[in-house]
Amino acid sequence: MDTPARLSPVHGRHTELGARFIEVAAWQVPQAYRSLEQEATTVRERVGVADLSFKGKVTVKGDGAGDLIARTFQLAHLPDGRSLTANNGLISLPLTADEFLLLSPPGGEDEIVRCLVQAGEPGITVVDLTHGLAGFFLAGADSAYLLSKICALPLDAPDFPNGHVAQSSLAKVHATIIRHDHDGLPAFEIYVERPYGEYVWDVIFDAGAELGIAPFGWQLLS
Amino acid sequence: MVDKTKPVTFTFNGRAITAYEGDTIASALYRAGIRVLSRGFKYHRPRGLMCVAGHCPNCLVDVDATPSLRSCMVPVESGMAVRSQNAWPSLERDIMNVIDRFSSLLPVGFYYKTFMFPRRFWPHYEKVLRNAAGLGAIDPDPDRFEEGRGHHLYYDKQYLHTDVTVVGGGPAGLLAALTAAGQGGARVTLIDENPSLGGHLRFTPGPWPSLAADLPAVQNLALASQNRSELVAALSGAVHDHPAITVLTEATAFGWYEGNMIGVAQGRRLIKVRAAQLIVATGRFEQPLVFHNNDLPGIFLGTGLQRLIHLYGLKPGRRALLVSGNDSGWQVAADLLQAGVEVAMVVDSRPWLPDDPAVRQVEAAGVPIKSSYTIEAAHGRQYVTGARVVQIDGNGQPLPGTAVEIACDVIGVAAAFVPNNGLLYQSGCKIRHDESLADFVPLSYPPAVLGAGHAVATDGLEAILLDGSIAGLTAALQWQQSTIKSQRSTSNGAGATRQPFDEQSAKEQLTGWQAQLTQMKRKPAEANASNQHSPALFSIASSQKKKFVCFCEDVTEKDIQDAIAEGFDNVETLKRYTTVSMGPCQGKMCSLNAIRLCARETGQSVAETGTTTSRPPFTPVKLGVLAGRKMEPVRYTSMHQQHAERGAHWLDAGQWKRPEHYGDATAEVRSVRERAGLIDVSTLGKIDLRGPDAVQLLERLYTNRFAGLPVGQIRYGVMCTDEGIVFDDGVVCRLADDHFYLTATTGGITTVYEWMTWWAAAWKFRVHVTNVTSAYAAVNLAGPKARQVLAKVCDLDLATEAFPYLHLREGAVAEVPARLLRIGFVGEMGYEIHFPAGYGAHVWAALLAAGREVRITTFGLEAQRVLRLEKRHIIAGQDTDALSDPMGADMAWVVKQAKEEFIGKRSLAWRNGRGLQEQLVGFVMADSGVVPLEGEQIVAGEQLIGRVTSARYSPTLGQSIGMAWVIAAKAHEGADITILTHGEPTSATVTCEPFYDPMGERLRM
Repeated sequence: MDTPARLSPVHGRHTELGARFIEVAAWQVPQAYRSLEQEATTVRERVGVADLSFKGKVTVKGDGAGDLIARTFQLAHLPDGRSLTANNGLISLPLTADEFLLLSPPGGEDEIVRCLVQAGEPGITVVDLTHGLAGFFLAGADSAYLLSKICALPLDAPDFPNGHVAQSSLAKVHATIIRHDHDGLPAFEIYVERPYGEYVWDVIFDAGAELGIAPFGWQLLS
Repeated sequence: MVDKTKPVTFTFNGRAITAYEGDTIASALYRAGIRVLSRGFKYHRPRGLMCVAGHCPNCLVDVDATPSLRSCMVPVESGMAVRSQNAWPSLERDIMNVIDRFSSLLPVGFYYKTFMFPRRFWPHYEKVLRNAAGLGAIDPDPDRFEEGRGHHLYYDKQYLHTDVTVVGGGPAGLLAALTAAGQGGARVTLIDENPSLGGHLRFTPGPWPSLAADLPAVQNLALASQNRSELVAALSGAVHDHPAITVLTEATAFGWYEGNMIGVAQGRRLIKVRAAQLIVATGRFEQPLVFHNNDLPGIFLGTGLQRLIHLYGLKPGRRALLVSGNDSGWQVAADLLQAGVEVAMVVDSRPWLPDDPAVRQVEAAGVPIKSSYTIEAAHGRQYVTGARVVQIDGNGQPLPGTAVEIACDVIGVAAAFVPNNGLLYQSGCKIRHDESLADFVPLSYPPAVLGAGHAVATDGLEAILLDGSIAGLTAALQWQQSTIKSQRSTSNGAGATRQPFDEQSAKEQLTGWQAQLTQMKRKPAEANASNQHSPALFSIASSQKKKFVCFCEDVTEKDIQDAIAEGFDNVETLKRYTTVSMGPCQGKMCSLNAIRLCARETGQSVAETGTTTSRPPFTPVKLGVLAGRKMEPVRYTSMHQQHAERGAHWLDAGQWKRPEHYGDATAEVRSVRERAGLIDVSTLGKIDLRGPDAVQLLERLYTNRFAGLPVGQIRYGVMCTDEGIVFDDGVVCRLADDHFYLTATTGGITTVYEWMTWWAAAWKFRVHVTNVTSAYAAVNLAGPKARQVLAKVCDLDLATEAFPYLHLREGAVAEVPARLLRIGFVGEMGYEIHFPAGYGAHVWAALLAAGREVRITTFGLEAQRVLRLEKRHIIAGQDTDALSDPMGADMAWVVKQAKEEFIGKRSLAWRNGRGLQEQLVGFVMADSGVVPLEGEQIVAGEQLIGRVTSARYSPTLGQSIGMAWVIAAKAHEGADITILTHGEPTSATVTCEPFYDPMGERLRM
């Protein structure tokens, strides 16, 4: 029997786009679609999109969830409730005053859950949503413009500076959106429910067609 | 401007037309000598260009199957197919024009009167009238055009956020934008519907006032001359180059919506612009005069002629009559002379001639000039051939014996303007008619909305430039004050990175400018005189009938007089009765004249008469633009690709795509009953519920008990509304004392999740509800051989005693961590396996491989429907509706009235006391070949006694079976019922037991 493979909801799209895959924490991750130079140029001059569905994603809810995260992972949140905080590849997003979404590199979710559950804080719920969310990274000069075609939020700086987090309707589905600049270029991470993954991927490509949008892979991400 | 080195070819009614880049369809057709562009709505009279500005309805055409586009606003594109509308057999010879001769038979409101008797003939009248009415036609053939044309156009949508939105790129708008962005440091979006900025300065030549040089926005331009074209070029360049200004040209702001959102149509894109501050600088519309035959092709508004000359380099005709009522008319006459048109005469309705260089130019050219004269009638059939002008007295009445006939092929009418203040009206701005200015001026602005320039009746270029600057700086000031306020409430708010400007000096600046503007408005500058035109002179008394007020709906002066005589003397009822201002132009050409006419006929002032309500859209917007890009969310399960590869036939289940079957649903049913089947049930709603009060929440939300449910076990549950109506069902698995895993129906999960979250909050329960529907894929492996299949890939002891029915275990399936539920919706022993969604493809493939030796089949929704029907398991929402309680649904056992409290308890107790009215039962058709449709009626004689909710042929039983609601008298074993199957009475017998395995032995194996 094959070893269990974790597939992104847009795995079929990657195959159609000619991705070369590598395995990262059991996920089949597109390594690249074209040369590193070509993908970097697209991002620098226009806009590129990468699949982040492989990220570890854990929600933490309850009174004192923020403090627990801060204590456990040295991730102290800003009081504004709108900015992410990051440490060692681990990112914490405030969703509400007592609900957070933790993002980790592929395969990190088990360790996050273990650490938080070990703390045994009463009244706090930790749920692994790694498989429940699809994630996309929209990066490049035109990324904010592309988003303005599918999301009603003011995501263009200065209304939405680097590190800000928002939840909104995006192409008619609920999305968590993070401004996460990449190499000095504006970039956004978008998380939607996994079953909508292919639909949202297609919407992004449709909206980005006029910009010459192209996918990029793990080699440019890392 | 038109570039004659770049030709573009398109067709008009099949004829090839050569145009140039920069042409609109209308200017190109005019260049090609085509003067008649459309036919009138009611009388089918020929119509040609009039405003050349997208205001009037005379140039509506069909472009590539998109009807009713304003051809004077659509740039030419190579290969476009343009067709005229509302004319048959041709634009030149439209036979419906015969109506024009019988117009006395079609008075105002004729459709309410003439065609009402006899009443029973109305359907016939209606058919004829509907055929005759309307303008463009929708082309139902989607394939008439290739990709990228006709019905295959791509429509787009965008959201824009800005600090200050300026609508209108004329002098006021340009100054407002530059001031707000420059001195104010705000992000500005400037919207203009024309291809280039400059507003009326683009087609009204002349010098610009020296005062403008003191304004900061102009100071920076370092202009060499006082030529308007240089000013426009410099301002427009400065706006385009400014990093904080976004310019949208060929973009129509068609409506104001709540939250200072402006709807903008730019080409095939809808842009929703949300602004902290809005400046409306939309200019004004020139107004026609009301005289006999005033709709003939060749009669233009003065600015229409100037647009033809200056924007498109066209010579409007050979010999022109210019009818003036204000100063702007004289410049039109001068422009006509410049363009090489012979000006036959200039008449001015005022008794004096203004002191204007244009007047001197006209005089110098030897053009006959008459003051206190105006036009009485135009002559011609297809096109203007002449006109009659007449002297008027101080009250605007014609003096007998003064008429002069003039031969001409062009008539320019330059008599009045009305502010384009539709967006201001829509934003809630209070506007009144100022009798001394004879114009509409804003009384007060709503918060964050301002107006400037012609749109608010500020006239004269000097005043307009100043007004724009004031609006720009005021908006920037208000914006800064509001952002500072919001910054205080958030530590890292928007605008933190901006450098605020000095408010004190800005306020001083504003005070100075405002004083200057007031001074300017007070002195009766010549420019301001353009609106001093006597309101009485828009129409002189005459007996002739074809004096059009409304060009869209063909409403004449006499129609309005008749309507007022009939009692419709309020401007709002007058509008509804005559349909004046209700056509495509939305009152741009007729509103003022209708109001003035109403005022004149009722003896009121214009202010007393009032105005009609302005609503969006202010200009025609294509439905495609409003619809935007198609964005219909679709949900796919993680086994979607595998289903597709197996040839699934798809079924839409809400947003989900689910396999209905894989080719043969009957074989799928047999496989589950005889061997094993596998179905993707990932769409099931799944909820993770934890916390010390979790049990309590379940006890209150479900009708049955959960407190005693042991860890590791499963119980079916039903949720009711307060009214005792079943709204969802599912299973509850107990993972720990304070931790549950629930399922809900595919369609009900969103409501169930909200319901649980809402009640948990309302009761302040210490629980967390998490919707994990998307995180888990789920399959149901069912059939007598299911255990044998699962055993090959699962590390659990699957023996009945180790893992019995209604129990749950956690283990590995194909090396993937999974939650296994022994439940049986389809009525065979089986396992519902839930596992992380990313493994969907892997687990699906592994189970199919393990089942190969027992010839396992994948099955879809259709087979599942048959299988569950054989077990008489209900589908909440299909077999139940908004009136179904659990007792009626034959599930009285699921209601535990002894429980202390649960939602629906009181209603259910009352319903129990009332007794059953009707009940959900099973039925077997007498003829196994007959299957009623869902929703078909059950009758007793003439009486309706029930309805079918589900029915299928059961291959297992060899019978047609179903479920139905029937009256209580028939809800017993063996009752005979009659079902109207496709309208034919058919017999069936009621049964109250499951059709298949009534004792549920197969489930427990």
